[in-house]
Amino acid sequence: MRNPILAIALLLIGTAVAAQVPYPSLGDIDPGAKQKIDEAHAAVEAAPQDATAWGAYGMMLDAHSLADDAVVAYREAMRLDSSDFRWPYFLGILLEPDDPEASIEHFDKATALRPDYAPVRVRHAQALETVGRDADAGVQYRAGAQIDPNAPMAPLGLGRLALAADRIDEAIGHLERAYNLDSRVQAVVTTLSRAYARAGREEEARGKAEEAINLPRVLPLDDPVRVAVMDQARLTGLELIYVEHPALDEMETTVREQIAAARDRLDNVVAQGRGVSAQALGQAFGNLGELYLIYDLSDPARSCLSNAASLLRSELRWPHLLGTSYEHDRELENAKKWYGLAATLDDSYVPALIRFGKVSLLLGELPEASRALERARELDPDSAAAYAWLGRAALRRGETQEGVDLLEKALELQPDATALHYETSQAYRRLGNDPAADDHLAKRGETTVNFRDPVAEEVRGRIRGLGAAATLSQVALRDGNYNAAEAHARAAVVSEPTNASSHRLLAGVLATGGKFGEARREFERAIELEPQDVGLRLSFVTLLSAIGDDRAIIAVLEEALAHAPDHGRLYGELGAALLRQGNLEDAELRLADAARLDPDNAGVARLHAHALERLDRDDEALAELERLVELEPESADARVSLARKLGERGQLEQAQGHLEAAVASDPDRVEAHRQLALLHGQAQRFAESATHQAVVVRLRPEEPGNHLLLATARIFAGDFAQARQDLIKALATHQNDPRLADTLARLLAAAPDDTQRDGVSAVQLAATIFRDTPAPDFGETLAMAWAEVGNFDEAVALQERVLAQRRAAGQETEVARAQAWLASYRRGEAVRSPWLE
Amino acid sequence: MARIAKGTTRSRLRAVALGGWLAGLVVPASGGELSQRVTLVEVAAEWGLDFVHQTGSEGSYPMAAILGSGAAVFDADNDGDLDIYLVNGADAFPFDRGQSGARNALYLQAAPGSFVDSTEGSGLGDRYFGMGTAVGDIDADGDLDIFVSNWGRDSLYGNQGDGTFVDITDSAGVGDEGWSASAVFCDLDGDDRLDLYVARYVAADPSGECILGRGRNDYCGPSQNAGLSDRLYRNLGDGRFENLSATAGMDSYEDAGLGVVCLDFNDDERLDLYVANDTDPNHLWINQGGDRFLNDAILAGIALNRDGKAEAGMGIAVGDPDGDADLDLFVTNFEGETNTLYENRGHTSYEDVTTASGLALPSLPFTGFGNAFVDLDGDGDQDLVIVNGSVARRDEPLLDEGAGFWGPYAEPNLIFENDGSGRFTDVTSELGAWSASIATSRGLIAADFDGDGDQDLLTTQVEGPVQLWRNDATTPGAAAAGPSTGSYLTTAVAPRRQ
Repeated sequence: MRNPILAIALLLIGTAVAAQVPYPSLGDIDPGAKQKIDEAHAAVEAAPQDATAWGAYGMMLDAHSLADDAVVAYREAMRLDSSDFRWPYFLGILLEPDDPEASIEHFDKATALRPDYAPVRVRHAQALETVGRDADAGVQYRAGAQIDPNAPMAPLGLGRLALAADRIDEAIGHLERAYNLDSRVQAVVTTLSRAYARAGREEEARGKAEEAINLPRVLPLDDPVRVAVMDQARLTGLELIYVEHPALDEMETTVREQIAAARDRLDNVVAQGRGVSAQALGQAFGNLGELYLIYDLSDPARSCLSNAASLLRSELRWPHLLGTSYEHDRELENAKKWYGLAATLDDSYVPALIRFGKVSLLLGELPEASRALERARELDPDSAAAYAWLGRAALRRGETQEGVDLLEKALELQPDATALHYETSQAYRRLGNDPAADDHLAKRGETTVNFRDPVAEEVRGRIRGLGAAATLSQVALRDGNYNAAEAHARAAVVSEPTNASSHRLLAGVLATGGKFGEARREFERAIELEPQDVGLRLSFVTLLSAIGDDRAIIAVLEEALAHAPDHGRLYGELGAALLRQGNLEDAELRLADAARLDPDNAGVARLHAHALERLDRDDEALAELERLVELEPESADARVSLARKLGERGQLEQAQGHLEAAVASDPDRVEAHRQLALLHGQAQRFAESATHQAVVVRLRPEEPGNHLLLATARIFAGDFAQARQDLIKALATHQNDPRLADTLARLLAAAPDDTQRDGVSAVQLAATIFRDTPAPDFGETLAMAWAEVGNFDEAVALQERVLAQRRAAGQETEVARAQAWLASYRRGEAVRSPWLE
Repeated sequence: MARIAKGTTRSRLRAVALGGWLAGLVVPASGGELSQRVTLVEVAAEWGLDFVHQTGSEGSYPMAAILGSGAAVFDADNDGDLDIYLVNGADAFPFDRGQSGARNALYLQAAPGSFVDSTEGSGLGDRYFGMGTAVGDIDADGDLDIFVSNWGRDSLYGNQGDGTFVDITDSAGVGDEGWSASAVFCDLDGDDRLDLYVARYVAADPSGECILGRGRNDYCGPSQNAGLSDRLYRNLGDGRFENLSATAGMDSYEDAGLGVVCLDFNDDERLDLYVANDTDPNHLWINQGGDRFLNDAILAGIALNRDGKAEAGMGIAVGDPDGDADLDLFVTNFEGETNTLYENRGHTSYEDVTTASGLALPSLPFTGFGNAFVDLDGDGDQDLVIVNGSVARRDEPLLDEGAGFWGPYAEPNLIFENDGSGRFTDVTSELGAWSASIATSRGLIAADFDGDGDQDLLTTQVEGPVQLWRNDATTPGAAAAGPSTGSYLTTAVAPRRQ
């Protein structure tokens, strides 16, 4: 072992009790899932004292329905880190279906650790309800409703409890509230129907019963912490990808409805839960993925299509569409991978072969490209595209004559593929045939060689709505065919020259092509046609923002304000531009206007607070931050900003409240935990400080200072055993950090907890540190270690040396402390309060 | 409130076939101690019942196989005792519809506790992939006819009065080719002729397999297939039935029906229907008269559970466990869901009281199918019997690997003792051989087969032998209530001389 500090630390690790790492029987599990489980298992075996590794392993098992082993892993994670609420929370969730009574114990713990996380409260309540503890369930539901007043599950639960207790009016109150929050939850509507019926309000009851029949059966519990588990494997052991569905608010109504219907279909299949058919699930993912694809929503499209490809492994369609998506974005390696899979699944589908050949060629993989293109030509001897790409492959191989022949053949098959003339011309030139070269050069154009791709065409045929032209244009852009995209947009302008939307479309395409000047002119033309259209001006501002022309932005917005003097966003954008320009006073004025006109806009409030802070108007900045928090109570950012401001003003209690709320909203918000750890530390609440610092360590283990602060908090909380464990664990990663090693050595030398001292190890460790870095602090630690093993002569000698160093450095406080310790050693007494003096 | 129509004709009483409800009107003799009074001994082989259910599908996952098959207990040969008709699946997969080597079997009771396989020559050796039965005297000739629901063409057999039957499916017009599950005969239009209601399941692809959480193949659930609307046939009185499903309203619901019972739920002297649907909301078809029905299950509170969730409804038991002289409903469901007890609160309104009744927690680990309220210990209240068996391989099988392909689906059956007020205690573990029997059970019928005055239990299994549990109760007397069964694929009708 090269590093003695690490060696000693590892020696100490060996004394800790390690749990058996469970490994499930995976005989018939999907290979992709097995690989992931194996990786997580290996991580635990490599770090058996690491709660996070255990927890991650548990999550992986949990995600693949390996509940029994997941329970073991979560239990171990909980034992190693009792501060992380996820482990008891997930344990509760796993145990609840078969053993709700056992689950309650864990929900109790999770609730204590994260009292402000509404889903914990709701699940806790549901388990209590299942075992008949309705009164306790009511407490949890009420807490859930208070934490997240916008979620329907808690009022639904309260309504159900009231109904069961024959408190009909109260039940109706809760259930109507749930209904107003989400009228599409079948459970809410049916329960409300029953409540009305019990109240004798038969007509309303029947109305709600009829309304309920066709509603989706999904019970919405917005639980991002739990989603993190399911993300690892959605429903099956197959390697499915979590789909981050995009917001649809700004899409055209027809498109929005089309996508929403496809999402509903997917949700319904997913909600089935019990043994999902790969066929049904794959089709639902594929159907939605196609829509995302055609409406240019690449990320969710790829997630959906990947899932479809995983579930429907024999179908060419999904890998082929994935290939087109990646090819559009010039991610050729990925495109090649998916086209290759498509071609393997059906080697008679010519478009997949051509596309595979094309991307392989672009990647420089000539043999693969040629094989695929030859096969395409064999299957479709009239394919101009196959000849064209084979010709290019031949040219790349240096076989110019063959390349020319193939390109000529392609032109014969598709004479309007005028772009090919240029390549052909170049090839003739290389052959020395200048007349032919000149002839082709004269014919060159911009139309590329094309080929039919029925799968892609069918998918594009699903495009709906007034924005079809825009979509086609965007699809062409993704195809890498900028010219086609521009052509679609110009065609829109030609067909509707006085429609501002067509100019706006063209402006967008031109901007994409980097033709900012022309894009700008098109925007200006659109604005001329629709001067009242504030949205259009705001789009123009987006373009100008991309260019970075704040002065133009300010001019456009000020002109827009003449048309819409009460439009809050215009003031907001103007304020933001002025702020960027450093014009703080004007920015603040505009942002104040924006805040007045658009009081619910959190972004404006945030900018306004920022402007006020920069103007040193602290009271107003504070007020604006408080307003921001009111607007976005769930925003951890907002809470942290406000807490920072309150902290600066010494309002620590209020700051703490907001930081706790920030943590409740976002348990992984490291800055909030860091500040909470400091706040609690300042107030000498060291156990609480350690709890938060432990989270900081979990989230930022790469920063040694975080480990040091955690160990310090543990020490001051009197938890020397945990401090020792934490330090050992930290040193495994940060073996070269002398501060961590010194803290461990000091703990081993002088901790008041008799069970944690280990003088021999302390001497070894402290001597190594002091030898490398003979600083006074490290010397004092070594002196403590000598004293601990009874070698007071060494302790006295070393402490005298340190004392001299401190005196020379004028460290008055440290001198007094060093003298006290020296006196102890001279009396033959070891130090037992190395930190608390 | 729901009760069997009073003053009804013989056919109505037969149609409903829920003798167990009468027991609720009796003052309980004493509470508790069922396990001390009841001993259950498995005697199927001893009594001559050598039937073994087949699916012919081991290693593949056709949905129909995992739903198993039911049975009927009725007097097939008109000799005044109970005979047993056992429904079978197939002997090979893919199924050869109507040509399977496996057939249904009729066992006639020769003497108390002695049955003889009388299938040959009886005309009842149906070779379709069988699911359930309905029994009733459809032609009012004094003997009981039988309808067999199948995955494939349904069958209707007319009784010739001597234990032999004739296939009258085609002439009756009830040979639906879809996937039928449970069925019931009852007189829905008040013309004293038994009409037929058939709960249909899903339009399943026979080769369909599903992937469960561990990424392994298993049986699909109903949600992966389109549900089928149920069938309502009116008995025209001339041997023919008319399909009224469209006009009556059933065609508008394509849900996965499994269990069905026929009762007068709203006390209007017209019989209504309650259908348990698998993962879909249950239906309550309130008879409006004039061939019209209205689904009022949500309003009545029996479409969903207390949480407002549709459950995987399998079988329905009807009884009066709380002894308040109205009929409550009990529906068996999937693992992780509770079975659900709906207490009748009057005015066609029910409340899910599963947790309060003590039935919630013990049912969570198992998938329930056949069920029946039965006074097993003769104390005057209705105990509850539930047979279980998973439809998806359990992560932790209850049988060791030697149990083979079906081992991971096997589960114990349960018996709950009623304290007389509708609160139940799981006494399964105190019942010796019964508690040790772990299988993939489906159908359940309680009847006094040996005439000793207590209720014995007949259970059917997927790919397993029929079981007959003789009840040696120390305080018999419950048999007076007649045979009893829940609705899952089974029918039980008392012989006339009982």
